[in-house]
Amino acid sequence: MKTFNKFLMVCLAAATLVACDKHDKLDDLVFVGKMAPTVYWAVTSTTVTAGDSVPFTAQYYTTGESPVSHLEAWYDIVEIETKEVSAPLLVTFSYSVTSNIETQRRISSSACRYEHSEAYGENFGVNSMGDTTRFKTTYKFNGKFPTSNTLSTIAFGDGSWDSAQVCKYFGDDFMQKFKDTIELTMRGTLYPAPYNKVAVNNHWKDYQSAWTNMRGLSGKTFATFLDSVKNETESMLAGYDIYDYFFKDSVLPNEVDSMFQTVTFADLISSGSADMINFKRSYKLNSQLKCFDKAGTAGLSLQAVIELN
Amino acid sequence: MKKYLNIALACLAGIAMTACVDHVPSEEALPTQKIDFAYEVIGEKYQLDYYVGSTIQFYPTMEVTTSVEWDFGDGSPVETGKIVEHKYTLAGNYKVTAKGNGGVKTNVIYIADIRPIVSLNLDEATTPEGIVEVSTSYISLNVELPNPDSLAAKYVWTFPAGTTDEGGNEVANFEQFFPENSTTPDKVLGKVKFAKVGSQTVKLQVKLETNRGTGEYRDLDIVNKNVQVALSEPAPTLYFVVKDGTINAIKIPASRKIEGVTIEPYDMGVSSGQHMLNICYDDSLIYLLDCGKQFVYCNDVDGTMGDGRMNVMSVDASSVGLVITNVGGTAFKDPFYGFIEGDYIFFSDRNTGFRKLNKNTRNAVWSSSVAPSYVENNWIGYYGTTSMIYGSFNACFGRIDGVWHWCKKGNGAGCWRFTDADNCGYGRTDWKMTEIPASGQLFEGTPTTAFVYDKNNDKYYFAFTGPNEGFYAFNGSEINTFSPQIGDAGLSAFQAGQKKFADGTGIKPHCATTNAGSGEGGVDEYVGVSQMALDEATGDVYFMYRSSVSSQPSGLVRYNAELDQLEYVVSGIQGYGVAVSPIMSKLFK
Repeated sequence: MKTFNKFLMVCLAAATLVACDKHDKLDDLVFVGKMAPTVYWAVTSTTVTAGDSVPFTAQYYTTGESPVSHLEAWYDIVEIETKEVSAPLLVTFSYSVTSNIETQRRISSSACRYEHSEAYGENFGVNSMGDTTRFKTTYKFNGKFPTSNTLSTIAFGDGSWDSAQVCKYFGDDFMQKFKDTIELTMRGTLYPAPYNKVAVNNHWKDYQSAWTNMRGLSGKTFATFLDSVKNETESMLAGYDIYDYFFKDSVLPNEVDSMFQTVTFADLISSGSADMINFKRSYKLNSQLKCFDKAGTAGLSLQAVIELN
Repeated sequence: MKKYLNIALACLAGIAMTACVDHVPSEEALPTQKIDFAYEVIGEKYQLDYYVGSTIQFYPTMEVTTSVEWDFGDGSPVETGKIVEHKYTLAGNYKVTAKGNGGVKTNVIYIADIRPIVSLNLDEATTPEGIVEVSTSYISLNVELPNPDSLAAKYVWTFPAGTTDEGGNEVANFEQFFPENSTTPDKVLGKVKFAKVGSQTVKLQVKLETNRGTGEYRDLDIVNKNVQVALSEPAPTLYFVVKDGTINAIKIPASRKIEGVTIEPYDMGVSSGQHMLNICYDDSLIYLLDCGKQFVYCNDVDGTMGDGRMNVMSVDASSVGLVITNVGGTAFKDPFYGFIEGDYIFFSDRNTGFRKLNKNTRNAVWSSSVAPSYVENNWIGYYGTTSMIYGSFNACFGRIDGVWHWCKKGNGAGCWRFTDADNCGYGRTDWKMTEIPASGQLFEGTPTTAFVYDKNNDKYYFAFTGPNEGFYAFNGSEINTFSPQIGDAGLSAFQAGQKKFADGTGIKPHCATTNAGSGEGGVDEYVGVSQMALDEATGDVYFMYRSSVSSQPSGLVRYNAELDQLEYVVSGIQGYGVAVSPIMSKLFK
């Protein structure tokens, strides 16, 4: 019996220690805030035209001591910008500039306020005492929040671009840098002589494409700038003569150099049937409905992402 | 000793019990940053617009006990105060920093340039149905220009080809000048009408005087007003997904062409998402299945790389809602291909099976209870006895007269047919694994990406990649010729089913290994023709063609059932899914 009492005492002490609020691990780990209203919402459409309103249906209730005061629609603004430019007529290499960037442009702000109304009440129930007194448990209403016309999509591409737009949205020097990068690759001027000669020779097909496709000049004339030598190895493998071509004396001919100086950005991005340039700047809203009680405590809805066009 | 031990234990128990304070957790102030702030436009107008010149108020969102220094990010002097106001003189993106309360916080703000608001006024006499009809309906254009300083402005309008005024004169460009302090232009832009069906874009470039009397103007952002011009007679509408663009639509009259009328696509303004391989029409709605950016193999160890979703769009794109999302779920469970029957939409994953979902579901998060598996590879008798394996790559599927047709493009390629009776309902290895469904398979070994069945004419249409790549048509009576697989005997009949363009060339759908640039999808997972749509009225079949050869452009291609040949409807675009709305309408509904 004595042993049993000792055992009982130890168990009691242990249980007391563990059960004690002082040792409530949950309370140690979390902050206990005020009871916030609960709010759900469903937007009618996740895509709207900038300047139009976004309709939604909301349901809310509170189990806290403070009654609901009002609701607010909040959203932040994210810009999505895509750029694509390429030079399709290059033969020996491809060059393109692409980017796809999402950036927050405005922090979350209130866009619209909706006053609470008892008239929104529905879902009548019976209280826990089985009382026949009926009381309202949830509220439901249809609302909408506005968007700004300034967030409409800006886009241009084949058939709808011009130099002013490229300067404005890609940068003033973009067109020149685009051409310079291509030209540096073709001329090999990044490398000291004689390595730049190798680059020039490797890119004679690109110059030929510019000569004939971009400038519409004679292919026969271009052929006079080239020299060739039989590739013995490949000829033997192929069973017929294969020649390697290169610029005479491995030097870029002045005529070809002069021709390329007249090639424009528009020439470089044209495939002959279309211009390979696309720009699009659009916006999306990360929106939430907040339900405030009269003590100022807010409950948050799930986030709805609205794409603007 | 025992006595002391007993006393000690009794004391310990007593201390433990009395030391405890029974308290209810109290409400605490939640931890916050030392400083944070918000901002808003002051004034009654343009509060959402944040125009250049607007007065913007910046304020802390918590109690602050020190002064706050504000750096507005535009090079203006730092201001001090708890709540401050500021005006930006140039549009752009700025970083605003608040320093105080022992902390520093930077937030972004976008200041918008003045943006004209262009709206349409329909001419009541010529738009009795409230829509703009080609060649007959007149509209006028209104502009609201937020111009608080009443600066002089020039409007430069650009109209699409074929636009004419009330006098029948072609209007390509039109310029107006508004002097300072005036809302009356030097010339009035009258009513105009359009000569083409589709999205007709009216472009407005506003040039606003930089400062009063300077005579210098700056260009505001160009505004493109999309006018949806309707056909003059009711016709079905074809919807198609443009790669990296938006959902488009185009009218498809039974006559295919109308003398003197150019039919162009409508830009519906709804994003094409990442890989919208399938879209499905049902009851005035278009279901949009987007399998996300990552649609081939990825090492999704944690099962969190899913980024696909299914949205639903009204036929006029006035509303778009979420059906189900798999964002953050397992990547391979994104919705790839779909089929609607009755109250349900069936959608496949990457390579396991397809699921059943009530088509009225909205705002759901993917789970096996919301969308339970309907069939998986190892639930039918093909598994283990034929080339179908656990990871057979899915493609289009659907049910014809009670028989499922399940296309596979790799790891067991072909079209696998079965009925519900062949579906065991769960994976077993001891069940009928030697019993191949009586419906039989088609084209075993041939990557089959899409199909459609024309019940009116009992014709099957298939798209293949691989050695037999192309678009094929087969009569219903001969379809079983190609089962179980294309043997030497059936090959010539099979090849005779290929349909071509007028120049005798067949389609060559792109694939990843051979088409750098236009290729998409890994080995055995070529996108190819990702969907076909049938116009039941004509028997024509439409698909988005991603060409692998430079001699043929990519585009929206139609199999013209009357001419028995392929033809371009729209060329020069790449895309994925297609769907026909059979609603006979001049516009969309």
